[in-house]
Amino acid sequence: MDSFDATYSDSSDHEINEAQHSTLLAAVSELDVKQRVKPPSRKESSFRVSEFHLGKGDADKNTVFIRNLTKSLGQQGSHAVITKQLRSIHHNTRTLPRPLEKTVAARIQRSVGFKNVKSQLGRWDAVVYSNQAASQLSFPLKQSTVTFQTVNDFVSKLKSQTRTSLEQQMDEILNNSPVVQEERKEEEYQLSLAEMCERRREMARLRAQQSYMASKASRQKKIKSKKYHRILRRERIRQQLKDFEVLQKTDPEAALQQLELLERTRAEERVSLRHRSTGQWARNKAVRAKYNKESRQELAQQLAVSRDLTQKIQVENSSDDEEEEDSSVKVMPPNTDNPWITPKAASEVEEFVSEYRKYWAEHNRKSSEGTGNASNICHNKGIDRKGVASELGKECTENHSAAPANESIEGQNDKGNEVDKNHIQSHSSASVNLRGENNEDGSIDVEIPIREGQRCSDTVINSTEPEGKQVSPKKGNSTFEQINNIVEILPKEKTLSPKKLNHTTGDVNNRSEVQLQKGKLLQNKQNNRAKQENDSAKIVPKWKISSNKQNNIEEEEVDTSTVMQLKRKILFLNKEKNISEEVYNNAKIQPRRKRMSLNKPNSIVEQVNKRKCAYSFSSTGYKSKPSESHSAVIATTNSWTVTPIDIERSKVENYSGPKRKNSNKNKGNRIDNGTSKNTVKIGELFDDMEEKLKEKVDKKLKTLKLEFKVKDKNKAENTNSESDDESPSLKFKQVDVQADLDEELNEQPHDKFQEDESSCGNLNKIVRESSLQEREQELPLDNIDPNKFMAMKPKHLQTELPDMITRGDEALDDNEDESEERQMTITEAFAEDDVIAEFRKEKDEVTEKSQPQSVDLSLPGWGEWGGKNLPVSSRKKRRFIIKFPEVAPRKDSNKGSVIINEEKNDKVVPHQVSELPFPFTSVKDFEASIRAPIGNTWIPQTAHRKLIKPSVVTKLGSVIEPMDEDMLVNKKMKMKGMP
Amino acid sequence: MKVKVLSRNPDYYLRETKRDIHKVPRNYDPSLHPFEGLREYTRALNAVKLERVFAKPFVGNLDGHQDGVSCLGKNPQHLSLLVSGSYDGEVRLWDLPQQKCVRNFRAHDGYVRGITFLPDGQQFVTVGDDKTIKIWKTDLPDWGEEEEPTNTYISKSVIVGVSHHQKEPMFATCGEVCQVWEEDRNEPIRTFQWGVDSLHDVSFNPIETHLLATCASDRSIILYDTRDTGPVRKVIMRLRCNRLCWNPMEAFIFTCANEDYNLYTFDTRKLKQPLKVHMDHVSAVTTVDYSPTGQEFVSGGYDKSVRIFEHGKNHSRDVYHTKRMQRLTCVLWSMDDKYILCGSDEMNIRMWKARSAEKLGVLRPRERSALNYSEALKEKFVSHPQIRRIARHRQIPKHIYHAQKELRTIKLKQKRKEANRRAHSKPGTVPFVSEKKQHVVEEQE
Repeated sequence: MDSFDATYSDSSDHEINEAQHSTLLAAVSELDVKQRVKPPSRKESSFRVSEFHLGKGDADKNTVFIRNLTKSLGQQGSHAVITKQLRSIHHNTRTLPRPLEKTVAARIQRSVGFKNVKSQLGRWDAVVYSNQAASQLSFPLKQSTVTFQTVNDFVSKLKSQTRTSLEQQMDEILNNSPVVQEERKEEEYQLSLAEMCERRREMARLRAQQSYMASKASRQKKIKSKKYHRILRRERIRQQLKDFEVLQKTDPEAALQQLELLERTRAEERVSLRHRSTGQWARNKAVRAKYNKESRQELAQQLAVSRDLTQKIQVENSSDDEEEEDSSVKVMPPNTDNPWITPKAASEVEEFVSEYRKYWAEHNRKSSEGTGNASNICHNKGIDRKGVASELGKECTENHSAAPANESIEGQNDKGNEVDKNHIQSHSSASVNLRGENNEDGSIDVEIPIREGQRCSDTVINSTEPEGKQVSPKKGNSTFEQINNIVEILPKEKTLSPKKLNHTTGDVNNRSEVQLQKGKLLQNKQNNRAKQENDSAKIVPKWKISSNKQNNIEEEEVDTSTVMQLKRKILFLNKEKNISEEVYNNAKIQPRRKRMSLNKPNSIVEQVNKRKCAYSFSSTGYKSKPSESHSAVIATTNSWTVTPIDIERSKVENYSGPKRKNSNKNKGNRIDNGTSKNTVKIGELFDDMEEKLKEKVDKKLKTLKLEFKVKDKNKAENTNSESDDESPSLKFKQVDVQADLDEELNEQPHDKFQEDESSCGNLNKIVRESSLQEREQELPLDNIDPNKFMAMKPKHLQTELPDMITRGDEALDDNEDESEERQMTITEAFAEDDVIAEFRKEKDEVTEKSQPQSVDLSLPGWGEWGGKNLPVSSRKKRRFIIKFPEVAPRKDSNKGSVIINEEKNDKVVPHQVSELPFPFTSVKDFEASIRAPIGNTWIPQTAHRKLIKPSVVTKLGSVIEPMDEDMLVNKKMKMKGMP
Repeated sequence: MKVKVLSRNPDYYLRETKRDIHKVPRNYDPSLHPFEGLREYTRALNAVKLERVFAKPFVGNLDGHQDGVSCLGKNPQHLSLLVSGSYDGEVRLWDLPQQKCVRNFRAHDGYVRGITFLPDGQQFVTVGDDKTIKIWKTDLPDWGEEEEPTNTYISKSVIVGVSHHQKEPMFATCGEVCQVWEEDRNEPIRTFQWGVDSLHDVSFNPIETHLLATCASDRSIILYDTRDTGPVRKVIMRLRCNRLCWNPMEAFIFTCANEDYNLYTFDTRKLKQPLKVHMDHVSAVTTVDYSPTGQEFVSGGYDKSVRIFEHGKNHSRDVYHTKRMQRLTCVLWSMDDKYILCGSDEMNIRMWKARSAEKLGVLRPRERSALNYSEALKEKFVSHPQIRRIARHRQIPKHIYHAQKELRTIKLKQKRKEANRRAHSKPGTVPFVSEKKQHVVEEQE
């Protein structure tokens, strides 16, 4: 009351403080009222806003409501909008729902938070499970980047020390040089450890590859096979040619240089005596060539090599060929000394031609007589300004009737007279040896490498046709194709395009080709009738040579009689043709004589050889022994046929073979139609098959889809059931399963050891005793005579076996027979299985084995007078046979059906695994895991190292930090060549 | 007369130098090695015997504390440094290689309850019964400088545990409430409370670093998300958990040491039941720590023994004990996965090898491969009874042995009783409850 008094006394002096008075009154009035909680009053602004501060407004009359404030707005039109808004607000306001209880709200918050945490932790599943399944983990996870002290670092330390002025100057100069600066730039980006490793690995790989290549090369170098090297060489040369062609187009200067190089090699070759037929080796070969095909080939090859090497290469390409060619004749220096270089006078050529004609006429006459076989010699010679390409084609066949050489049909083909040089080569070289001999067995094949032939033709084309674009036989062309090409090209020297040429001079060409064909045909006796018929049919001008040019070459069978007959027929045909053709050709040849190669009769071969410089080396074969080369001789001896190897072509040939058998074109067409029909039918068949297959596949797909759906459903159900588990499906399967032992330690106290064992022993004793007792009880049960079982007779039951065992529906048909049969079969099956007898026998054996044997020390014949085969005396028996003391009877002696193994090794038992360890599900798997050895005594070191890899590797003396979030994102860059 | 003898080129069998490996030509054809299985088994047997021969885990003893060791702290950056606190408030820093105390000072009045290092390893935090949190420098103070904490926070409530965030300058304490502190603030930045019971251990998740777990004295483990929501889940066990440790390699796995002699490994996402129940202790387990590889953990308890468990296994792989070691208060697995340290009531800190038979130090390649081979052999033949017997055999103190026996009988009795009850009651009324499910009472949202 002191305070009250104080206030009172104060108020007596001054006027009454209203506020104090009101609080006083309130306090007094509150004394009666039960509610002591004051309505909230606004005091200070604070951050804490609580829902409990918002008290009920109408408790106090002093509270100001919005409606009181808005009253002043009244009904004035100017405030209509505001009043409207206020009204709408008033209308729409609803009291907010009561906030949730604090505990409930917190629980919701927590559950949401836990969900977030779960999802957050779920990110680690992949990493964790992959680590669990990993065969090896190495810690620390983040290997810190290693920094080495480089040489530069070391040097820089030295540099910092004081140096002489000269050194400094030098340093400045060096440091300012652009090279050094560049290097420095490179140094700025230092390689990380991984990059360094990568680089090292790359280097190692390169080195390894290099060494592989080197070893491979050395291995290849050691290969002695000639064939292999030949193929290799060919490939190389082909490649070179290709390159050269490319080079010609891209870099003509380089190509020129290349050419020069070639020229040089050519010169060297010309100078040297290598690859000639003059050497000892070549001579020996030549001697052998008569009998040996291989040596012949070798010789031919050898010479071909030299020819190849000495081949002059034409580079220049000029537009006006004729002029040049004309001038080339003039330009040639009149060197009388060298018969090879002397220019040919026109008269000479004319003479040659006339002689040739004579020869031709004679030949025709002879052929018309049909006495002998046709043999042809074709000497083609391309005379050029450069005087290079002289091609001599000689195809001679010799009949067994040894008829003299006839005229060559091919001789007429004065336009297309490019025959592979190889022919010439082989012919010319061998002609010496084979002179005057008859090959009874007909033809001998000389295999000419295709490529060489090609090259020849290529060079010829180069020389004869500077434009060079028209024809360049690239595929494995046979000589015929080449000839064909040349035939096409030669007339076209007046800038005619090949196509045009084909059209314009088609007749001529075709005819000549046909003739050529026939010539070949005659030469090759192997052609059968059909082909020849075919050939005769081919006289039709539109006939294409390419389609069947191998007809002539392929077949090896010889049917002489028919062939003979046919030949006669054909020759007849040929004669007529030849005459007309000859005229035509000659007419054509005349104006172009200078650059045209000429056909010569055999009689003047020598002459020509001597004169023509263009023969170059190809004629050397002749030249070596000119006197021996007789026209007739050549004709008769050259019985070799040329068989270019062209697999593709031959295949084509084979394929088109049956068609060609029909000489009638219409027939061929018909067959074509037939085949086409067949193909149509086949196509239909295929379509049908396809449809069927499609249907099948569709069906299968449907069933599969259904299965999948069912599975998916099942899965979905499963996942639903496990949804609250949210078990991650990222768990890996352990790669190498090993026994996972998880059991208590076998813990024993120090001094308890003995006691424990004794207790264990007691236990064991108890167990043993109990088991013994059991056994004793069981004993009488065991002692049953097995014979009782034997006495039992099998009863044949009449019941049926289930369908599963029998053959199902068969049983239904004839029941009784079947059942009887079955019984029979069963008895038969067990006929020899006298189990009990077998067992008894086995037991006897075992007991016998276990019985100790008495030792016999007696020596046969010792102490006896008689010889052998005498009975051993009883005295001896008594003295020398030591009987083994009686042993206890076997445990199983009384037990009929048991063999007790008394020699069982108990020591092994405690080492053997008695039950399957945990992760294994089958004994087989477990045994497999144990069986495989891991020691390096039994397996290679690498495998051993892999198998003994520890599961956890830690780096010595380094802190292993906990996993980082980097593991989630930072995928280790996989190195090349790393496992 | 010429006598022919068999002779070999000495190059094939002589070594160039003494250190060279003998060249042994081998034929791996299995038909030539009929006894390979047996030989390998013998090798395994020898290896496992040798392992037991070499199993001498005790490395050393760090003595110096005048009172029981209450807590240990491991430096996240340096392997050689150890900090320990004791019941008398003293903190000691140890040099492990030399097994010497390098520094000691009185940090708190009363118990030092917890020690934790800052991520950089330059400073460490101690909490004590005097409601203070102190941050100390790891380095020795300069000459003449007094031992003073770099920072001291005074808490309003009792603090019994501390754990530092893996990366950020932030640590959590527990006591009456769980608080999160920032190093440069004197007030906790967050305070979490769920229920009224006190918390006696706190642990930050080292991988999912914002996650926090505490052990409460109401037998519960509480999880917190420190970023936003605070407490997220609580799991109540039969008895209280004493210590909790997160697996440093598996973000969602933690293991807690329980009063009921067991340790429980939980998946944070599935708290209804533990993943594994690790039982071998025969008394309350007071402490647990994971190896930095996350493959194993070590625990210590009132049964005066240290046990090492493999991560996914129910039984311990090894037990360490010495005659004088008393009840364990704290264990710690060193950051290089090589050593285990344990502090116990009787004022000593003991240092053990994590793998008792491991050879310490640098190994020569051949040595290493030989050891690897013997390890692989042991693993391969682990299920063979003899090898298993030798490998699992341990000598233990009598008291543990008896306790085990007692526990076994208790367990048998319980089982028997349950079986009897099941046999004599309506089928289905006494369900089979798996061992895992028995120990969790409730999971609270």
